[in-house]
Amino acid sequence: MKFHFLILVPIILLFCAQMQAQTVYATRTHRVTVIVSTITLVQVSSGVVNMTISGADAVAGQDLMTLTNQSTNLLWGINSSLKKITVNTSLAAPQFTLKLLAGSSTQGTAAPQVTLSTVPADFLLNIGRSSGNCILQYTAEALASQGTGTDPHTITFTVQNQ
Amino acid sequence: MKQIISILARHTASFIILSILNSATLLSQYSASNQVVTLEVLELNKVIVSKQLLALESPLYYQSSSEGPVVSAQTRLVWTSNGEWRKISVASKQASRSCIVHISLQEMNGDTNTRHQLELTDASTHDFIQGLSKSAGSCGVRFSVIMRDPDGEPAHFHSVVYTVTSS
Repeated sequence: MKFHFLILVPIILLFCAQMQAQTVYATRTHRVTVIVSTITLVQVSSGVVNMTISGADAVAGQDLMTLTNQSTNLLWGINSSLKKITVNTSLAAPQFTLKLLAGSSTQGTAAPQVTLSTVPADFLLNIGRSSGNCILQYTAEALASQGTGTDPHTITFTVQNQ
Repeated sequence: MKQIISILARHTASFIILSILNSATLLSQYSASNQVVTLEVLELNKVIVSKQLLALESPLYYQSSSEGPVVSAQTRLVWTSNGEWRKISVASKQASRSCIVHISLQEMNGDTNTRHQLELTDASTHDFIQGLSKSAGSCGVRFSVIMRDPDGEPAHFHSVVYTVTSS
């Protein structure tokens, strides 16, 4: 009996002390609302790409000269579903042919190689709710019969509903 | 009643603020990105020959003392030029006086004005194919040698140089 008393007394004392520490004097609440808006971001790793077809890109006897450039990337972050990226150029009448392909895409499905024109063409499909990147693989084609010249393109990548 | 109105007012204010913030967020987003791609095509001129080494060997070389055509060999000249009004000239370095080298064009592919035959008797440069303009083409080049001095040097080396220049 004496032994039980010796155990119970410290437990009761501890319990009382804890009760005193947890005494609530006042409460206030506030509501935190997190709203995630529709986020649609698309960005290129570099705003400028220069391509020059010179003698090194030509083969004697061949009319066609080609040059590829894959020095830049396209990056995106999208939190809504069923989205695609289209591409178009501002240059209405280019002298030479410029093609584009999405290479090594981390998300989505790359469309077949696009010959750039002012009409938006599918570039990358099925990229809803993802962030990722792909390589911009440009291929320039010039014929000897087209002579020399410069084509200044402004390429626009746009996220659209699929 | 006052408490209800106060709560409603507070909620309405929160809703308006959140709506404004949401709209601002949407406006600040961009769903398009631009990249300037400049494609420049410089003037390029390429010319090659299919055979780097042509051997013209004459069985009559040591037997005949008379001047006449000895032997011929053929190579193919191939070019591409995206320039306007270009020509291909030809010259022979180390031309020998003891023989005359004739060059003639055969099987011309491409729209050009050409000299169909010329002689390489010295190191001077001759217009060979003219009127190249934004084109790719090819032709056969036939070499024939006329010996002037059968008792002269047993072998002659010609280094024939084709050059694309402006007309």
